Amino acid sequence: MSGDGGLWAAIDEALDARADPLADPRVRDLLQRRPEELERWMRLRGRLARLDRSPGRRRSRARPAVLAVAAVALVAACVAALAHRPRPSGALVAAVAGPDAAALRPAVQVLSFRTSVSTEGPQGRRETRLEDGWLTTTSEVRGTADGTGGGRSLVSGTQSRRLP
Amino acid sequence: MTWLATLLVFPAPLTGAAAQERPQEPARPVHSVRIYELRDLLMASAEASDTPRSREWLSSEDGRAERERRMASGREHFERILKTYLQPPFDPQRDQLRITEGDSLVAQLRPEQLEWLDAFLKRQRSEPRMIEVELKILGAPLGALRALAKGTDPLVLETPEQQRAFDEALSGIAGLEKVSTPRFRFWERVQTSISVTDKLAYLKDWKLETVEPGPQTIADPVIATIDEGYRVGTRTVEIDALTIDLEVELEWSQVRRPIPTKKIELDTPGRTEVEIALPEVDRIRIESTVRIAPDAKVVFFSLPGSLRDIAVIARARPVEEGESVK
Repeated sequence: MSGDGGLWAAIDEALDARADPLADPRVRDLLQRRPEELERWMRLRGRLARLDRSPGRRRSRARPAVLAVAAVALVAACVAALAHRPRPSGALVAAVAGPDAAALRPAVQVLSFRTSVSTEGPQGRRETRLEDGWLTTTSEVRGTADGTGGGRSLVSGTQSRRLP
Repeated sequence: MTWLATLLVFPAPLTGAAAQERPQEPARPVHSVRIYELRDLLMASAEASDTPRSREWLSSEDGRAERERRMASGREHFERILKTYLQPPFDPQRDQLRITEGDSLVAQLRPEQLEWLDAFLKRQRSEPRMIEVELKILGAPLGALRALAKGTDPLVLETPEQQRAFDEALSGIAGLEKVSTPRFRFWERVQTSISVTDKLAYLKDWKLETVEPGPQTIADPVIATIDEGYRVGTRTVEIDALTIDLEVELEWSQVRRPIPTKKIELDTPGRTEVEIALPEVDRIRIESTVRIAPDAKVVFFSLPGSLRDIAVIARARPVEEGESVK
């Protein structure tokens, strides 16, 4: 028998049978006794949940309820088990807290974005910049008497507008 | 030792008349102040991409400015990560988090936040993750890529269906060019970058020199160079099993062709006529920070105003233990 007490074989078996692994008391029991496997399980569960969320997949109406009840029961059991164990490692705390916290947030979020495009030559510079919802255009004309450019700035200007 | 000191901060009890006059306020959460030493983590990410020789240079007096730049960037990055992802969320009105120039983290937080912080720092020390970032830099005729964007915001492709639909839309673009598809595999918190540039030399000016025998005046060409190509950089942190913080930076430049020229007359006895080049360079810069899930993609588009559209498709995922380098 493998070092995980047959946990992953049982999970594979349930998934092969298109069943929720948490509905299997054997899996719940093994996970409860092996909290060190929780992180790996949470990863797998997260990925399965993402696949399941994708449009085009048909979902049973009863399944989410069963899954939710089983998940709550498992987490409660694990918390109870952990309370009587030596303090868990940081990774485990992060693993337990992480996916639940992540479930409350959007999967992807743009936290900051700025971009600019510019054209620069001896005769001047034009730049359009987008930052924090503001679009700013700057232009500067440089020149010398012979028209070769590269001299001091002759004309410059900036315009900004807030994007809707 | 992960933290240096803890100081409990209790709400001050009201006494005397003040206690009687003021209505009873709901109990506020107790904050504790903890000071953590972060130098080892910051140094590790500042030096991770160096060879032993450049690491030696970095610790010498000559490398001091670069070392300080990297450490300052690491401090700023780490502080942003903590303030963004702390659980329960960081509240700037009540909570405090600051990394000092001496690389200590001063945290005045609630007990649950400190628990999250302890676990996060412990994981950063004991199980640093390697993250793979895949970028696709695309170029297309002006307007073609931007037509796929919604306004000026980056496009988020969360599901396989959205990604497939986007790929199909891309395949319909005439003149689409894959400029580059760099793939980074690096430890989290480490800044990585790739540059692919050509140096273009051009005749910028002519300088008159008076030389012997003679004396005579001769024209000496002034050669200048322009960098053309791109530089792309990334930095990641795995926050939890479903979340990676990804920073992406792209600088792209291209010289407009044909390069305009101009004939000028030199102030020599024979009024020699010479030609100089007046090149114009288009530059595009994209900088973004995203919270991304391992199966999702984000597409960043350049603004109109350049010779062509540029888009960057980014995805990030943790490298699993034992996974081979393909």
